[in-house]
Amino acid sequence: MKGYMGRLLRVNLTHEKATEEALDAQMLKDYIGGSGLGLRLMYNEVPPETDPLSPEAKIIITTGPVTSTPLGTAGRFQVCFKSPLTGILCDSSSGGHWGTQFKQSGYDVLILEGKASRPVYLYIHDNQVEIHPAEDWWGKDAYTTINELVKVVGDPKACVLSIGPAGEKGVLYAAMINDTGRTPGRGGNGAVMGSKNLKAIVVRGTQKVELANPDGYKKYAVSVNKLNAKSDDIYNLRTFGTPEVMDNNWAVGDIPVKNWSLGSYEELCVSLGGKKMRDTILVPHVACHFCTIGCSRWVKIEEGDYKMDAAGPEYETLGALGSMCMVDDLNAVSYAAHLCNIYGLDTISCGSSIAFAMECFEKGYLDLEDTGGIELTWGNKQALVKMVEQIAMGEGIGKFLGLGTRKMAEQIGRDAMDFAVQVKGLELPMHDPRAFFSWASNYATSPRGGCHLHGMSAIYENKQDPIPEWGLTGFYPRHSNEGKGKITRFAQDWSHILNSMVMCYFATFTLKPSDLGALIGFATGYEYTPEELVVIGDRINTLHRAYNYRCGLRRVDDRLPVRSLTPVAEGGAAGAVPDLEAQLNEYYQLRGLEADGRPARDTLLRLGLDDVVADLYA
Amino acid sequence: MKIILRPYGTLQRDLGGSRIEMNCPSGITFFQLCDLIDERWGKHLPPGLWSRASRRFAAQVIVMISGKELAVQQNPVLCDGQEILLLLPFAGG
Repeated sequence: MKGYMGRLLRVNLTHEKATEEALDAQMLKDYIGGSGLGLRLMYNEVPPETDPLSPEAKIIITTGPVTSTPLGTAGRFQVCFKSPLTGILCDSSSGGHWGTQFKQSGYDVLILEGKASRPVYLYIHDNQVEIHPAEDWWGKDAYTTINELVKVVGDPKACVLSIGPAGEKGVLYAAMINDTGRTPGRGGNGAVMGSKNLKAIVVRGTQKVELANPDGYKKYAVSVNKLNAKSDDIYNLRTFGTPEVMDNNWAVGDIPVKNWSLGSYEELCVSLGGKKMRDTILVPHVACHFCTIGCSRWVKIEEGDYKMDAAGPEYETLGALGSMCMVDDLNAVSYAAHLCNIYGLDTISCGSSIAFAMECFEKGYLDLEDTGGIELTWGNKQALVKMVEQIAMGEGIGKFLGLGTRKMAEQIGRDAMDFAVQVKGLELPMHDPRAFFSWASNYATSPRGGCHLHGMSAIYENKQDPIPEWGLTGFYPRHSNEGKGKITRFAQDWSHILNSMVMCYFATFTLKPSDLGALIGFATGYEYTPEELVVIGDRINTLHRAYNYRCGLRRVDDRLPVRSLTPVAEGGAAGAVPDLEAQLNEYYQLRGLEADGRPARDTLLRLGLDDVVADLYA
Repeated sequence: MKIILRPYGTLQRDLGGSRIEMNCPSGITFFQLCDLIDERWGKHLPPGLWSRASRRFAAQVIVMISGKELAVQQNPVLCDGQEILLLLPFAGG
């Protein structure tokens, strides 16, 4: 089985037992690996009615055929789980080097099930699995745990995936943290891990993956790495990181300000941008596995209240904790982001929940008695930092904010749901569907909830012939609804393939579907055609959607919040509102969905999901 | 009269700054400005962002004048001191 280790590791935490299983070759062919494989296994093993925080819940961590190869960014891994925040199936992706070490330890997949009787950590190294007590680290932050466990195992190349206090306390958007500040951020996987009394997973491996055509693979991978090293498209990403989006996108109305209520605020956004970061607090930064892009940021603040020397904030974090809350102090936002990392919190959901609470405070729905005397006013950076701490620890009003915007709005009532900007319970990322209309159908239908990484659709707008090999040709202006359902469909399929190979989005801006097929072919011996890849993307999306349908989701849940469909008065998206229904009609037709959102029987059969037919049409 | 170009993204590197003042004849149109841009920078602008044949920015460059996005065939007459934003929006993580 070339390109894979061919083995699945199953760890039952209740019985503290580890077993190995062979991977099914046909399943790998049908789903490639990564999240495709993980979602298939979740569908097979976790009934939709499972409580995400119960011992019956599972976490499935996967790598793909390009993991641990000389391809840039090929150290990523996927985490599949049922989300405690949304109640539906979720898959999240993380970078760094943990994925490489895990695969080199001898496995492609790790399934975690049950619940340990006391806090434990796993140490997986070259086909050996050890389960150790973790009481000494329970309560410690993720960075401390990571650093100490590397010392405990005595191998500086070991990588650690850990939770912080937020996961231990069951904050619904708690996140696992790996390496020096990477995270499979969304959906609350940290809470699921904490519910199993699992503090950390240490991995170290020295085994090599056998590739079908190692020379061919190396040559192709090196050419991709060189292309990314020299590409004009990537230059700014390397120089300014994703924070560059703050410098640029304010002008087109893409960056949410003041809980999505303001259309543009140049000064605020630029004060949090990549240039400001480079000119003030940025220090030489680390890159992921073999990566020639190097978008990661590392910041050092030497004095004052926000002293830190750690991974810096990305664009989404700058938006969620910065512009959404009207905080224009880059040092304060960087520090708040750092706290999210050490405590283990999804920065998008955290910042969005704080911004939502600020609006509630402004409207009088929350008062000083609720907040324990903290003035939750727009731009209050002390309050921002305090809220992150309270959320992580489940203290004061932080316990309420840790529920996420949907549950908070449900409890507050009145018109709060109108400005709880989430889809299916997942807070929207920092790109505005009023600026790029394709985000509308993308957010509404993304299978894990409002998400920009299950289809980065906006990069195909305002671009001639976005994916010719998949028939996505033509020009799609950002403020037109025509063809946006089509863009969403293909953008999602592209992301499913990347998440199944497990490869970073940024490494593929210069690539075509046939390039991805070639890489998989050199690795595994089977080269998918562009047509086969789009079928796999469709299969993965449909399977995920089918699971969510069994969780109770219907077309009515493919919606956007009221705030996202209310025009803003200023900026580059002033007055513009997408026609979600028109986009959804096109999308549903392309995906082969019935009126209520269920995948049609014909669609399931065409995609080889015969078992799902029995589940949905019993 | 003065027209101010405000390029973003890699265009700042290609055009040599984030705020570029150009002295232009009074009553110049946007297309005539593009002719001047081509004369001055055409050789250095990457083909993915600028067409030397048509002397226009590529479709993915969003041009905004006075806060409004310029449609592809729009050719307004420009005013003294007007700022022209040349944007390359990007989706971040």
